[in-house]
Amino acid sequence: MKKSIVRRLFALSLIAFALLSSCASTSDLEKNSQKVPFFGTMEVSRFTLPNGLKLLVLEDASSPTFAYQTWFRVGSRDEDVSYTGLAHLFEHLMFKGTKGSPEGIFDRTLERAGAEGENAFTSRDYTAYVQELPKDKLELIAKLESDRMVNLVVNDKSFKMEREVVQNERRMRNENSPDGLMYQEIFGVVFKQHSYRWPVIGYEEDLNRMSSLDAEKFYSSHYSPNHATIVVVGDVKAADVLKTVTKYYGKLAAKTLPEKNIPVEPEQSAPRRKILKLNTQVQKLMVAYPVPSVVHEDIPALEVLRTVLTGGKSSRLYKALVDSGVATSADTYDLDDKDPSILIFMANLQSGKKASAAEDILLKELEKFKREPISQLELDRAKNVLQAQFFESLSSASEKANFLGHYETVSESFRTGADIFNRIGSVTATQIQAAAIKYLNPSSRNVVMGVQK
Amino acid sequence: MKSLRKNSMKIILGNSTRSLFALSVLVGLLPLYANAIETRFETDAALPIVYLNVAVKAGAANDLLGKSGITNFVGEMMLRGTKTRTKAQIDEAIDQLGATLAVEVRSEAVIFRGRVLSAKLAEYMEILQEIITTPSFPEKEIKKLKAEVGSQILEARGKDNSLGKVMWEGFLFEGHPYGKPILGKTKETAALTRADLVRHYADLFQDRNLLVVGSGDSEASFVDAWAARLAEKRPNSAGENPVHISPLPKAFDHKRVRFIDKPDRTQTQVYFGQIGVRMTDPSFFPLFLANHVFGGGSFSARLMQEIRVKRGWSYGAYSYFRQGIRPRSWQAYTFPATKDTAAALALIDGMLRNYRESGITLEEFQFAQASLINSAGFAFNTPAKRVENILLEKTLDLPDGFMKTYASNFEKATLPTTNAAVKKFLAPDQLSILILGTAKDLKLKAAESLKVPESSIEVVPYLKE
Repeated sequence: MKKSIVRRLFALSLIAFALLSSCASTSDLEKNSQKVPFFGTMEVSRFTLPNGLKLLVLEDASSPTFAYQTWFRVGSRDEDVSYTGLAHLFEHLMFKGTKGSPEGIFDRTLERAGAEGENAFTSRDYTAYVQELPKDKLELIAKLESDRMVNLVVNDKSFKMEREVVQNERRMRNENSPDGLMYQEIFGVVFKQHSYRWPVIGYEEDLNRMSSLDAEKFYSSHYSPNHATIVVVGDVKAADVLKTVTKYYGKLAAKTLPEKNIPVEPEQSAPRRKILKLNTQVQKLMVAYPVPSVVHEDIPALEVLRTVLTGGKSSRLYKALVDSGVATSADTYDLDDKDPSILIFMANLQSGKKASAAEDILLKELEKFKREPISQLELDRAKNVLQAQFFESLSSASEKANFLGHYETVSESFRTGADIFNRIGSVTATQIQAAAIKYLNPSSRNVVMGVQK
Repeated sequence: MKSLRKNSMKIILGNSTRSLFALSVLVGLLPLYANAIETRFETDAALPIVYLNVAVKAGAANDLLGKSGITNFVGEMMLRGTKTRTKAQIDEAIDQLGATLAVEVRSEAVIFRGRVLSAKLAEYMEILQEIITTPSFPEKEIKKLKAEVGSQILEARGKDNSLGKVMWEGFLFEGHPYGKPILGKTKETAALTRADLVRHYADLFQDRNLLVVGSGDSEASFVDAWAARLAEKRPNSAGENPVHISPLPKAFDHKRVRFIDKPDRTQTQVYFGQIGVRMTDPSFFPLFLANHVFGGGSFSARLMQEIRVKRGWSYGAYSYFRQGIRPRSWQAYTFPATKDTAAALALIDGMLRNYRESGITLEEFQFAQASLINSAGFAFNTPAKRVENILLEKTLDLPDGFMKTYASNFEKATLPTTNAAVKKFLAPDQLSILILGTAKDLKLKAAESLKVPESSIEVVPYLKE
């Protein structure tokens, strides 16, 4: 039987929001704000406007600049079958014109103002619009971003042009990239029901089938203040940011968001494998196992397990695959999806070596975890590596904003990321062994091998 | 993502085994200590980590004749054994500290890049010092590394963008050290001997060629004292410094077109370019400003507008300078669908001619000037960027303090001097053009678009080194 995750997103009527927004003053909102501890002495001010818009502010005066990011809780997981790639294609369209600001003005205004890193990205779980600006440009960016949140103009000409750009991006990332094709394939092998099964960039035929009307419908359904979080990190005062954001976004109406019926992936009962013929001179291997979502209590143990396997040159897989002369690299992908996802191990083989040989070595290493707990030395080493990686992920305003925005969007609170970090400190060897037994199961193993065409 | 956009103030270096790094403007010069090794460290206690880099002011351009890849090989081998530790012991010691240490090789620099928890810095320095001063080059590891490098060279053939970049540098700088692939050529790296490596290490790793730069939660005096100990272990050898600066690269006096033939491509890699100018050349800043208008990394730039925004032919289209101790390169780059490549070639050719003949407009000039000046602060807004500035200044042999005045140079530029610089610099009939794609689908059309005889296009199989 097909199960469903039914995620009913909270929404209020336009009238109710209009009333609320006219009643709530900035000082009321300030009183109702939360100061949430982040890391060390850092505290994040959290506000929610009456129209549902979330705002996170982290004051950091180390540079006279700030990062301003807008995170929408929509990604490729929210797409319908036959409309793959629409979330990402729409991200491109957000740089077209609005009702009051013709195409090109958004970019030119920010460029002239000295914006840095103006960009956007779409994942399986979210779409984010990011930039950094000199500290005196808060008003400017709030005005521009609030405008395109609700006033975007999607016409047929710009849709078709941007669809062609996306097809070219797809050719670059997937069609002409052996690694991109492997990555696309492993998700397709693991997921049979859930929307994680298709690539974020979408399939060629789906992109070609879509029209500007589909994009308009997508915009209308998913882009609204009550479906977004704004993250500001830098040389700002939280009260000033709240005032400015309220000025530009406070009058925007919330929308009733669509009910989401994302199928739950059925439990995998038998191993799966696929061989891909690629334009490559060396073989490639990916092995994946289903794992829980980012909020699950087993994630810290899995993070440590992953690090023991591939976190540095003394890690088990590096030694078994690279030092032994079988592969040139051994890696894993991050565990940070909103819904249950996959832990992927991957290796690029050395010339003349077979992916099947690497698979045998990998499986033997995974079995070792189940047989005996890791040593205290390995445990300490993995925790040190993860601790340093955590600090590194907070080394600039934009990186801090990325951290906050990511966890706030995939888990409803940025604290999830900080909590994972804290819980890693108390993970035991026994917990790692238990996680290996629970998740690295032969019946839920998925293998994709890339061989020369 | 919206695009692979480059940032306005970024300067691109030459080849590198790691990602390209930003050049930014240095403010508030940090103290320079009286070591034989130049040392700069900026204290930043915001997070309990330290970034520590040891750089050698010599890189792949110093590879010996017939031994391409030797500098990269030496750098990698230094991480694989010292007089007192095996590779496994080094790896375990670094990982146990939660640290990272990797070697990045550029054409004119080797940089050991490290990151460590500040509480573990002293232990980390001990290991790093061993690596820099007492590498052992064990035969067993040499054999293993040869197999890895050979496979990496082959693996890179599968990645069109990195393959295109290596092929482009080799074509533009034919016969010049800047054209050497960092990883080297398969046969040449396979033939390296331990004696070659030991000799090359001795030539490069002398204190006059070394530099220590870092930032983080520690004191400059602590790092300085460590650098002094490092210098004592690697004194200069007698005589002339064996690190030589490359000769000036040769500009070609005619248009050249090379086609890198790879089967089944639905997308191509396209480069147009010529030898560039040094950052210290008086024409550099006007040219940089004009290039910002032509293709310098913003959505308002002409190339991006014409190729992507108006026609959707490619995900990106840029032009940029690469920097070296010698004049390096200027190039336009795009990666259109195969079906649109011929039209894109003709369009770019025409745009370049117009750019040279008509220059940029006053409105474009003012926009670029404002954008570059207003974004200047982002070139030095984090300790990491300030560290990169110092590395760049030192390894590119720029005058002390040069980077402090970077943004102010755009204020001095005028429209007439800018357009005159473009006219003098750009040579549309003497460009080198490289296309990576499937020749049977595209060679004839490319010749027609570029108005050259098809027979003049040199076709090179993609697996040929």
